Amino acid sequence: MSHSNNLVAFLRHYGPIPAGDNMYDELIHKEIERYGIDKPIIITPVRLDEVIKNFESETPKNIILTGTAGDGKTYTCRRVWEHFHGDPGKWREGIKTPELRLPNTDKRLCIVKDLSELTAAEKEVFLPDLAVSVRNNAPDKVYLVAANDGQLLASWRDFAESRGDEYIHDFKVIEAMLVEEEIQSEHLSLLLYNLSHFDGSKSFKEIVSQVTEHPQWSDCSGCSLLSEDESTKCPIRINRDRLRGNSEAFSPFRDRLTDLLKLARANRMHLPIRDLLLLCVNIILGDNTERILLTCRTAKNRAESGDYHKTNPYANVFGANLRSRLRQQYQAFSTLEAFGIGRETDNKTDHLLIYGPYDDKEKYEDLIGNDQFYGGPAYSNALQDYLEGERENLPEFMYSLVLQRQRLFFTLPSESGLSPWSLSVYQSSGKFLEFGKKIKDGRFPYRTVEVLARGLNRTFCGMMIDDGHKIYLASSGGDGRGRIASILNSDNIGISKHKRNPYLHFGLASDKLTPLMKIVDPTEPGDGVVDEIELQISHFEYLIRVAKGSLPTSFSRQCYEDFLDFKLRIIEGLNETDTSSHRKIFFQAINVDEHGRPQLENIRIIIGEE
Amino acid sequence: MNVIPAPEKFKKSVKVWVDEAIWGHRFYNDQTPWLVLLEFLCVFKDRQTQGFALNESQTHGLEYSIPRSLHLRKLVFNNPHISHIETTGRSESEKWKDWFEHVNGNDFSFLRERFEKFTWLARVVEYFQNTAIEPHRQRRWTSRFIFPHGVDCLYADLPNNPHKSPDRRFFARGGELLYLMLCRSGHGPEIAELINRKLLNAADPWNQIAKALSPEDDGSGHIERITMGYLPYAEREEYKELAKTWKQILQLQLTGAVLFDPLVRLSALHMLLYMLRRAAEEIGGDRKEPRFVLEIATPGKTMLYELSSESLRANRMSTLRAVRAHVEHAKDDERWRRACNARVPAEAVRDFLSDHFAWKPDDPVSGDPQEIFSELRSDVEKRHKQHVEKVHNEWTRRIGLTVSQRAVGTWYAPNDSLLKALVMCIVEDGREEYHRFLAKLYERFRIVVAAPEAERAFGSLPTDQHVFTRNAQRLEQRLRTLGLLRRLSDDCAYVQNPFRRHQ
Repeated sequence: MSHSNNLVAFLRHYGPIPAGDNMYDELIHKEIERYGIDKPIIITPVRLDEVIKNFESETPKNIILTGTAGDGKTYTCRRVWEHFHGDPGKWREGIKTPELRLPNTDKRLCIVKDLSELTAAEKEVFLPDLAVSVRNNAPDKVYLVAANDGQLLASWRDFAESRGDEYIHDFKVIEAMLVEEEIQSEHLSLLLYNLSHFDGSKSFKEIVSQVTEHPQWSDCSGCSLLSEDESTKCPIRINRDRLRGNSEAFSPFRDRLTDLLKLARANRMHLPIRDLLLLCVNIILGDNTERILLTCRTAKNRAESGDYHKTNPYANVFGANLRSRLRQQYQAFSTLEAFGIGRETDNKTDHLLIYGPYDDKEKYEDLIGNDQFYGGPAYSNALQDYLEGERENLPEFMYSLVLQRQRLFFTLPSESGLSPWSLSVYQSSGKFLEFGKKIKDGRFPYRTVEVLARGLNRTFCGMMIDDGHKIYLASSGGDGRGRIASILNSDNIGISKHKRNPYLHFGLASDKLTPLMKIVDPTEPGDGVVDEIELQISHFEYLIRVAKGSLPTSFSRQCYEDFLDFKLRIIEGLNETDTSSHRKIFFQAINVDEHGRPQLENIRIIIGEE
Repeated sequence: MNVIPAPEKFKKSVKVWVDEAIWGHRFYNDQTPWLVLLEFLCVFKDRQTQGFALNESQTHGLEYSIPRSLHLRKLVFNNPHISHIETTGRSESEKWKDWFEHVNGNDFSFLRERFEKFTWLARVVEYFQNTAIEPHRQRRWTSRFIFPHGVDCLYADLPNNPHKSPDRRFFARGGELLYLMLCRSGHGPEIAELINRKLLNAADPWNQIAKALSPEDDGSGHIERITMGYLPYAEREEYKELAKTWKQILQLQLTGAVLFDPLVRLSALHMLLYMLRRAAEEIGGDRKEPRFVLEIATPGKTMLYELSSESLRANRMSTLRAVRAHVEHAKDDERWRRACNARVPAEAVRDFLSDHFAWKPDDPVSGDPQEIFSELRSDVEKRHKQHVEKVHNEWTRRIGLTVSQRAVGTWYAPNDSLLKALVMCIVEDGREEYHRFLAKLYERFRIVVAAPEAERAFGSLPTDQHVFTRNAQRLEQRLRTLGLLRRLSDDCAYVQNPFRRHQ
């Protein structure tokens, strides 16, 4: 019998294989024992420490955990149960609402590990108890509830509406907490944790490190595919090494994946822990065959026949090893697919891919040719045919270019003269992440702000204005939705802080990642924020592209509407003092000259007698 | 229900009083929803100066007047030379002189004192042209309207010869009906207050500029003493719903100018619902509630397209069916029975029908009672098909509720502006959970997108549930693209109203 590593067999269960076989918290123990795994993959749930601390206190509050399926709601509940010495056997029996005694209070903790498990009749008993506890801090019991937010809101609303005013008020508070992402409210004895609010990129790093550094990779020793110097032809080991990177400091593959996950988060696309694990496993084990994932035996077959095109880890990121119908079922793949990596390109990169072997041999070898498994050799025959004028296999050739671009996206070193982000839909992604980081560090990214201001001016006025030093706020007149806005409302909004005049300012949204664009009026009380808009990556990209003079149709529509609404709200909020008098009306018309310079014309109309 | 008797004057002026008896005097297809709103504002403004806006002690026999404002309108809509002269690059005085020669100079000499430069006048005229209402429709210049920035921007619809009395083609009394509905909603005074504050602000600079385009005494006068149209019912739920929508929209923290578009669309939608419910009442039977099954745009054809175009067909047909039923009811009348048994039935039947429906047949009709009745019915249907029947198609298209495609047909599918208007109206407190939003869409506007509402509208699901589920997913995606929806998790999404409401 050939050599095989149980770790591989164990990891497969986390991957995108038919449902039921995936490893959920409920099933995990069995598999750990079966494969003799000494060190299970453990990602500490984001809020576990806070939850435990709360229940250890003398005055514990109720806790509701929400979040997308796979974020570890049930897992958190189990860990709490274990922490307070709950009987593991009892947990495994599957009791819906197990209870235990807390150490520093007389209250008992009741855990509802999944609200959706309760029948309607059970809910009818449970919800009033919970509601009373949340409202009055009931003396005998405190709750830990795991629930899907939609379902929680629906049941709670029904209950509150049947009870009347004060419960409806509580419900509204909870709804607001959920939507506004608040953890607590001064009126309620409640902590509301949405487990989906975590930085997936950090958890992913943790997962990658636990998986790739797992001690049981050493069980590979003795396998015929592994040489003594650790060089290998095994696709599993190769992929693991790629993901692991050569040095801790900079691993383009891991770092770009992390960046993509950050961007997904800024785009409000959330990936639960379960999907992150799935992604990691698929990158290493993905196999473009019916089996979907490699085993030690099939890995050996691939190595022997040199079928590395089936195990390409850079394509596995996007689920290329799955049929499209199946692929669409996994959020991890559809979310990452949306970045268009491989489909988008620039001339420089394609030139290198196609003419590099002749034009720029050194660079080609360095970036593409030297990867004997997934680089140059993977498409050299198709390229040769193409260059010789063969067009019969054009689709295959085009697809091999997609794969090469994907590979480049994940392998380009930081200094190569090529930008990985130009291979994605959001070409300014790099800038976006840097922008958010600068704001976080309290620095002012002046040059980018100027570009954004130019994009904003062009959007606000519908003219090719080249000025980014201040904001031109203009109306189209009528209902305000006309493309061209030539009546100037204000041109005294600066792009840096000012004591008297309104100015454009930037902060960060609650995810500490997405920039918030604000208009601040220092003469207003409080923080003076007239209005603000979250600059998601698509908004950011839109403004940058508009500032550069092009307009992508795919997402321009939404962004345009968003900025138009933003403009209307600022106009309403700023309430410019009108310089007109009872007998004269003044207004400014704005136009641009051929150099993109705004031309203002003061128009004066006499409307009454002296 | 409490039906108000119709003024004899109106009954005399029409060939047969059936459309009007059912829905009021009158709905007319040439009057688009925007023109309904403009006509409404004209009525409102005049009643406001009398101190009774939307607060009439009684609506029977009300009169109002509308200004002709011919100077302003000639300048903006019948003034082709101005832009050409403006670009010639001659001196200011030459431009003025040149232009005065093209228009009747004496009439417009007042402008020279108000505009220091000819260019400025040209700019202002261009502004009003660019922001005119429904600019792409090829209407006579006397039926084109500037944007209603304020009270001085409102004026009458006039025939080709603007000095003659109006022909009622574009201001066809739809606005009067809207006025009467809001009057009878029980919320008139609150709405009047909001309209004055938000929509018809005399101090609005563009209103003042529009005013500056007319001389002190415009000289063209008013159309005086227009008698208000006729709306049969004193009280109806639809009036209250309409008023609720107006309040919801007018309370948004937005400049008034932005509110016209949603008001136009939603008012028309409420009026269409009124027409359909009235039709259902005439027809009788179990189905009282209309439904609009929306197909959210998709690349391929779906089962929903069938359901959607089927519901459109049913709604369109319902007005004709209502007219037939209304006429048919005459046969239940004791007088019909008596006439049929009269010594000369033809004469008696003709007299009864002429009296009952204010019918004025072209030729003296003869034959047996059934033949006379058929004659009446054919007159009624012919008249109905000319205008009232077309209102549903015309209005739903104008407000973005239907789309038409060559070789495919017409069906209900919303455009972005309508979706936005619906969100602005329905979503209170800034947000609403998505499924509840869909439920409210049905409750308020009988709009069907997802399976639960389809079940309510049809009694049972008319097709596979997945068809509706996917439809709802497409709407979600669409609202998301419009920045009107946010998903919290795989289990929960919220529709967001980007505009706050004044408390």
